[in-house]
Amino acid sequence: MTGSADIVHVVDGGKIVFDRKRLDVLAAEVKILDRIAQEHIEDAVRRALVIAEHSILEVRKLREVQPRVAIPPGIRLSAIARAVLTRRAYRKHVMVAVSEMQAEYIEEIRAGNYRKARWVSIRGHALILLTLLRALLPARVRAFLSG
Amino acid sequence: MGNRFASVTELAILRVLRDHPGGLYGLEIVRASENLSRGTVYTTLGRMEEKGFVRSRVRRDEEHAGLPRPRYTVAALGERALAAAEIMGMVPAGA
Repeated sequence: MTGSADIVHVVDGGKIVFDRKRLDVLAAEVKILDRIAQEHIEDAVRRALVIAEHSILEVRKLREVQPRVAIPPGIRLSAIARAVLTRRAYRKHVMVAVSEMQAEYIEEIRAGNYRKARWVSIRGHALILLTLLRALLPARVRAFLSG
Repeated sequence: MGNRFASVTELAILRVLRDHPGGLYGLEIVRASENLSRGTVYTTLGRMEEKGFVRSRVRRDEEHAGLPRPRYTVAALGERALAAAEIMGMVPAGA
């Protein structure tokens, strides 16, 4: 026996009877689950949008920071020395001091000692300036100073 | 050119260079010597090269990113000057 409220399906000659009340309850549950799933999806989309927005801001910040090319120290001073000294005096007095300072600077940078590298650069510049001033002195004065 | 004789600083540099037949960079000479400063070594090396005590060679194939870096070796005249100074007792031999 089936109630008037029941739904009857005939499959391969057999009868399947669905309880109408039970079906209504299931439909209500499906609606609730559907709404929960929709809320989850909306929440996930909102989060994804926030993350994407942050990523775009990060990319913009990175683009704003211009890349810097690290050049060995002493290049400008070396150029000045090359302009004011003769080629021979430059090679003899300044080039060695600059190249040695650059070598020591690069050595410290490679070792990760950035503060020491900075100190090498400052000390090297002072030394090169003194060498440059000394090279600008007349040869007789220089010979007298060097004994 | 000034004094043609080797000074005490020049002899000290010659002694360091004689101990390293493969040659040394200026900075390596400073580190190998006991009491020579960078400024003294670089200035003296230029003078010594002029006097013919040392020879410098710049190697093009090295991995140095900056200006050409000369490597110094003792020249024949430098060896003779050092030997003469040691005979005369100007520098302690083999020190």
